[in-house]
Amino acid sequence: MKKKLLSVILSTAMIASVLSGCGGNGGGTATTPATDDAAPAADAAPAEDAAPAEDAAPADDAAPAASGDKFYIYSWNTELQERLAYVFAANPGMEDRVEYVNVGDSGIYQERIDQLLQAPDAQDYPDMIAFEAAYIMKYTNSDQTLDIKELGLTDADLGEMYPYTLTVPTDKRNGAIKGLSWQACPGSFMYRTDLAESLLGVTSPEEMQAKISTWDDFVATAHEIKEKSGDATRILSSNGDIAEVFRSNMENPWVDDNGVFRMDPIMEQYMDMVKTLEQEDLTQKTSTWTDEWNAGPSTDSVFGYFGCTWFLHWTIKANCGGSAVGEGTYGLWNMCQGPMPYYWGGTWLGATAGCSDKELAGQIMKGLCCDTEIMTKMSSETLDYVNNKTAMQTLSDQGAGAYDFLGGQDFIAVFSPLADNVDVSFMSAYDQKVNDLLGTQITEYSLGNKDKETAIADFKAAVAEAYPSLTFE
Amino acid sequence: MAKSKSNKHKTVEYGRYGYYFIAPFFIVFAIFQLWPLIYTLGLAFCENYTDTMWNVEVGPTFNGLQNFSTIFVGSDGSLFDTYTFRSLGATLIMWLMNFLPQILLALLLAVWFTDTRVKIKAQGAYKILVFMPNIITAATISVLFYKLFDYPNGPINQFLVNSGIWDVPYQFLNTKWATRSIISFINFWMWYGNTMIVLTAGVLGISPSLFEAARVDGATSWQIFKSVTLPLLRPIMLFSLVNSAIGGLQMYDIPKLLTTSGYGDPDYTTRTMTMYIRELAFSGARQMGKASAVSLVLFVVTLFFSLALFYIMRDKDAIREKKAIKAAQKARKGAN
Repeated sequence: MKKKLLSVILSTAMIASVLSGCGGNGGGTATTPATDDAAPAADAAPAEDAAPAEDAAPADDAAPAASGDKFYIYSWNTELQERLAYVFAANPGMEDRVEYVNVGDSGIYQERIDQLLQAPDAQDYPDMIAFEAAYIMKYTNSDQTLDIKELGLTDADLGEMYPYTLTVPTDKRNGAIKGLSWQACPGSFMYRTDLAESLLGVTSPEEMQAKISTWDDFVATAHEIKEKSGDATRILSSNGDIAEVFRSNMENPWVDDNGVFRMDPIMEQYMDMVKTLEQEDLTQKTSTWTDEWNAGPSTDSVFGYFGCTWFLHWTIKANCGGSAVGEGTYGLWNMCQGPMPYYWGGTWLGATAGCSDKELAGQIMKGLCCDTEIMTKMSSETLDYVNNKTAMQTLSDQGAGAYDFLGGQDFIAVFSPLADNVDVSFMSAYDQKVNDLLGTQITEYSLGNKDKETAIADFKAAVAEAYPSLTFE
Repeated sequence: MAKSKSNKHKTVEYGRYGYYFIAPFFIVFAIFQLWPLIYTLGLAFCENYTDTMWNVEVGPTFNGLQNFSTIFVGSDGSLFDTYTFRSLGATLIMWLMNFLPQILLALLLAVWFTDTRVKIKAQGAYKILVFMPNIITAATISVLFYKLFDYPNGPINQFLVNSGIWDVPYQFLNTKWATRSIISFINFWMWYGNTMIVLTAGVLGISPSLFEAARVDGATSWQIFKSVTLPLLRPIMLFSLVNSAIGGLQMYDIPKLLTTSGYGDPDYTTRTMTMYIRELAFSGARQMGKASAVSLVLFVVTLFFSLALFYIMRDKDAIREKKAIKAAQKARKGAN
């Protein structure tokens, strides 16, 4: 026993002297303990999900944003980056200052921005952020964004814009405009001309419009397409494709200015419509934005999509399986209004409260959203429907709207009257989350797992859970 | 003698370096674990959320047990009928569904692989195959299964429809029990190899002479398993049970990534506690206060399960023996 004790003491002493020997030699020999320490540190980190995420952001404290630093612009895809290239081309030197951060996923974008905004001193604090329609009001109604007047823009700069693009980013508290958009996004029904002719005998957008001018007609036409194609083609790819059409026809927003939650009657109609599509097997039953859904435009399985200006280029054209007439379904598309006029999405750009260079922010906004020359060029090259009436008029007069992807149909002529009349009174800061919560219950209802009353009650309960400060009627 | 004295002296002097070496862990622990823990505890009793309308943070202000009352009492006043307890239920169900088959299969494999009479050939290859799923990240496996069970044209549905087993494709990921089963299966498949390795180590730690003695006495394989292997495996079993309970209650990655919306489709039936806490804290009104309170509930539940397992798995014979010894000592004293 004594021997054992002695050997333990001796070996401990030996190890200790080895280690202390290392310490005595000074720097550069700390490798052994360092690796030992790394292990518990790594163990500790993932356990607490919430806290370190918050703590991690202010860690860059040491480097406050100076004017010589990078100017950070955040967005969730490359769209804004490609549009900004036009501004950079017109303003030499600007590009070197700007650091474009692509968060990469619109699903996590809002959370990411919220975290970034909590750390105004961090080096990667955003100077400008892109907003989607579904949540822009959360930021423009707060002190986290700047009035564009502070950035050097005047009312004269806003004259060419479609009125709704200014209504959306207006701070409800004081009427200040907090963001600008370079695009206008009225929606239409985009359909395959070859399928329309072979299945329905329809040869013009006007005839097509007559076949889907109401939701009853739409369902009847959907049946016709399904039967005449022998189950090969459906009118839509997913049940969710009609969501935006109904949403933008709500008379009241989900939450009014007093924090009262209301379910607009049209959303009940929407629930029934989804159930009809599901139960009568009128769509391909995919899910929006999945691979299978994206593959739709290149095959004959889907007759049409509800989409807006950006949707035409970014979704249908990008997935049509070709890039010139004769390839894939390129050139075999047309647009008509569909059962209801509607509007879908769009991106706004705003400067944050801690913006490091207001002048630069103002220049970028002016170039991107107000400069008729830049915007005309942007639209003629990208075929984006820009938020500038003169630019669109010029292009329309030049006949630039005739689009070979649409078999020569003038997309400007279709969208222009729609853009003038967009009504955005349905929007609120709560839209994205509330629509997500409704989607869960609509799936249950359309599959027949729940009746309508239960689904609506569960939906309201879920909203109350997510937003405890709301009141319900 | 003089030499050993100076040695001793050195040991004492350099002993304090030991503290320096362990200090980084404690510093990191204090900053990233201890402080957040204490802060969470405090937040649980506060009202703290973001008013979405104007995007301003409300609180944190002390509001007593209000967070807990919304956790325990539903909006219609019925106890436990809340999202918190529904997600706790879903978590427990999915944990049990993966854990019971997992421990049974792992035990069976561990016994087979260590049995000196069975002598399975190419054991190493089997062990690698069994352990392999654990190496793949959860995200990859989730996406893989999401694609496999896709509706309407995923491989599984195509197989079932084309082979005539079903007439129409099945909504796997929109059906409560199908989704729960898939999640449980993934967890089971990922972790039974790991549990098996742990249990194998446990069985190998048992002295082979005990097995030999039992065999010489004519015990059957089942008798050996029941009366030798299992009782001596108790400490290792306790370890893997507690480990699995803690891991299972914190289940997050698979259900989060497998369901389409990430909210625990269909209808929140696969939403686990950690998914729910994350949703409360980072989406909607970002209710940090309530999320902290739910975290506390999760902590208490985990503690309860761990203690219960310790109690169930306690060494009853050893306790009885101790008592008997004490009683005997007392009796002897009394006699004296």
